[in-house]
Amino acid sequence: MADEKNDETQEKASSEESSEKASREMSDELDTKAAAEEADAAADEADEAAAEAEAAADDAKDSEHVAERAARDAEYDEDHSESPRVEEATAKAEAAAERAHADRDDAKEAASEAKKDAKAAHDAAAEGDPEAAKAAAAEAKAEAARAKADAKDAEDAAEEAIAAMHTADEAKLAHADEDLEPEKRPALYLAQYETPNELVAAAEKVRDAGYESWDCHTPYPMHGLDEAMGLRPTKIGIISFVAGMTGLVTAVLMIQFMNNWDYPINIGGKPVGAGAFPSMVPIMFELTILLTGFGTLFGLLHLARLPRHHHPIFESDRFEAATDDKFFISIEVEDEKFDLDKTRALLESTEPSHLELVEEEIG
Amino acid sequence: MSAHAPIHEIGERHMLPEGTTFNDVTETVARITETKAPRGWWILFFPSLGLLGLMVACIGYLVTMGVGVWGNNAPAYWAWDITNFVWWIGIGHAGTLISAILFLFRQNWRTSINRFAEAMTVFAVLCAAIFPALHTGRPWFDYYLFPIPNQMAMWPNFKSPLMWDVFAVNTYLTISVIFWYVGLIPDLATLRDRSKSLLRKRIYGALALGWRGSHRHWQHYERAYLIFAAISTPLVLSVHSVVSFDFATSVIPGWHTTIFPPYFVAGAVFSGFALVLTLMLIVRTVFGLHNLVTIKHLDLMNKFMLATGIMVGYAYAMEFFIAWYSGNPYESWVFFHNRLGFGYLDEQGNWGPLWWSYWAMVSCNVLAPQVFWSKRMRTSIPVMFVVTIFINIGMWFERFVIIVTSLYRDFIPGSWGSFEPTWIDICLYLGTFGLFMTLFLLFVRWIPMIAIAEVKYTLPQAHPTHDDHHEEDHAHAAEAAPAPAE
Repeated sequence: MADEKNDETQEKASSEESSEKASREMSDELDTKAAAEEADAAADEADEAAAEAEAAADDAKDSEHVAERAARDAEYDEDHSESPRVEEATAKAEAAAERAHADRDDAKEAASEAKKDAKAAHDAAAEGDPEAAKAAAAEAKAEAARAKADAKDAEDAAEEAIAAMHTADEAKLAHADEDLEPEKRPALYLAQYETPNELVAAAEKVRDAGYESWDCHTPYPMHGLDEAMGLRPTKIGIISFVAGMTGLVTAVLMIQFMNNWDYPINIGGKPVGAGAFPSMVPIMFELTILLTGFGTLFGLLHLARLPRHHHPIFESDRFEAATDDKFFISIEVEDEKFDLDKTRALLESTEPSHLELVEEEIG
Repeated sequence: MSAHAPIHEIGERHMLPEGTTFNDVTETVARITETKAPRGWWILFFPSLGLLGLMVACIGYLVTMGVGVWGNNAPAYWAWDITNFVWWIGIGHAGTLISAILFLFRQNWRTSINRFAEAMTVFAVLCAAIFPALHTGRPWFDYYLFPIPNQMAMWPNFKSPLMWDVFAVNTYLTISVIFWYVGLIPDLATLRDRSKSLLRKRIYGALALGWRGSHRHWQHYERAYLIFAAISTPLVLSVHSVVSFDFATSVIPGWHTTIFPPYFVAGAVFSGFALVLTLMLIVRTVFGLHNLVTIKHLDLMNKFMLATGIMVGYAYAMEFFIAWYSGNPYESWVFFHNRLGFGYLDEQGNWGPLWWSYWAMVSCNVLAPQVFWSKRMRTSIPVMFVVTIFINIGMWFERFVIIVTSLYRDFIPGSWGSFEPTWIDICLYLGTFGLFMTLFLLFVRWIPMIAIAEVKYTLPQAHPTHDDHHEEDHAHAAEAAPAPAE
């Protein structure tokens, strides 16, 4: 009975063994199958990674082109400008373009590596070597990541190149502006005052300091400024008088010439020559007035040197109030005593509400 | 400067409301040219433009057909044309009086109305010039009037008062334009400096000649202004005197009187003030200028009209006195029959047929302004508006009476006639209102209609308050300074 039991046991054991083996075999089989599947999956992932790597390499290629174009534009700017800033920016753009190029090469290489690894992973999977397949797939992924990183670098480099190109552009434009913008030089000091009293007090100071080429600007003719500025009386009356007398003489000569010398006409027996004097009076008077008027107008324009539309004082925006409600004193650089610091100090001592140096363009 | 301050002891005050700032003046005047025209402006502008078109059409018709389309006839060789000429010229005189004579008399209140009145002078003289230019019959030969060689190889006759008129009116127009423009230069600079758009800046800038308010310029400018005022004063007196010579140097009873020059000048100022006031009342309301053209200004202008109205009334009376006192029957006939109507009757026992025009003249010119003795009337805007229109009508009738009633029934009854205006007489006269008003409305819209710089000049804060003693203060300070050191 015991043997039987033993046998039974043995049998049982052997059957257990076999079943164990079978199950082990089965599990081995399962393992192999799973491994193969895993290897396949890994190979697929490796494929995907390789595809991504290739896409990244393509991006890197685009970035490289962009960077190259930016560098070319920057170079163009450099050719057309002498600004050192353009040169600097162009060098930067070129460096970035080179970097983009290197990154693109790296990305390309990484992509081809990734592709190779992916292929190896497939092969390994087909051969039933899952470990190798997995390892190859991991490598492919790593390569793909590198390709992506390189592509990203290339993109960054391209961006940098573009930024550098913009800098070059701006630098070039700024330089061009510098070329266009004429040089300026000081033309006059302009001091603003709020009340007639302040203006007159300041004018007296400037007068006493001995300036000649200076002026007060008011919205209306102000009393007391003639003395405060130390102006001599105007001579316009002389011009008017001379013009008026010219008119008077013209009238006498014209009437005598036309009605007496050139073509005497007897009208109603009235006398010609000196006897016609009473009838000449109205026209003598009118021509005197007419020529006095013209003499005064042109005398005024001559003495004031008007019309003059380009005076540097118009460069000041604040000066627009001179025809509204503010009072100004201007001292021009033409004055012998003009000195950037001393004149400023003098005007500041008069307590103007604003003081500015007005510049004019040269040329 | 105390000379310009109002004398409080005799009741003088500053004309503008207390606290008016320089900027207020700039704003009030300049804004009109910078904002859209008020509706009132358009309401006036389109009819004016229509009347201007009527004038152009009338002139075209007249030039094509000849002056026969007017009602002028024998014996009324001069009629509406010369009436209108004298009337328009007279209108202009107020402008020069206000800008020149009141300037010489230091009447600072003139600054609120002078620009406006000067513009009216220029436009009125332009309107006036149309009539004699057409009355020559062949206006394309009007250059015969000027002393330039022509194909007749003849020179003008300088002994003729009509020739004097050519010189007087042209000089008057030229000087008025120059005076007006010189006064405008600082104000155009103000508009230039306020301009927002480049176009405005360019146009006003060009017209302002680069004016920069420089006191060295103001010094010449003020003297030039004084000279213009000084020459315009005798000029304005001469122009209407010369116009009156057109009549006075003839032998026509009613024209051949020595009172004519002062009588014409007084009448010109009278009618000019009336039209300035009529238009000022409209513009003041349309553009809201009540703070710059105050009731005090209007009051003063009414006093002027009262005074000149009395002068004109005196001249009317004196003409009658001389007509009677001279014992000249022709003179008496013109005044008592042709004008007054009932003094002398003709053989059929009739009054002079145009008696009504004389009475229209007297009631409008002499009676109507008498209401201005009352301060209430002088300061009532509806009253002064009505009275100024009466005066404008009356002054037109004055010229009509002088011209037509002297001509239509003179020495020989066989040559008597009458005068009836034709439609072209009427339309041409109305048309010149179109020219005047169109120019005037464009002026108020685009040019500062009140003299900005001159009004600022009259404000109480405009001039330094201490300049008389300033030098002394300095001297004292210099003396006093070393004292503490001793």
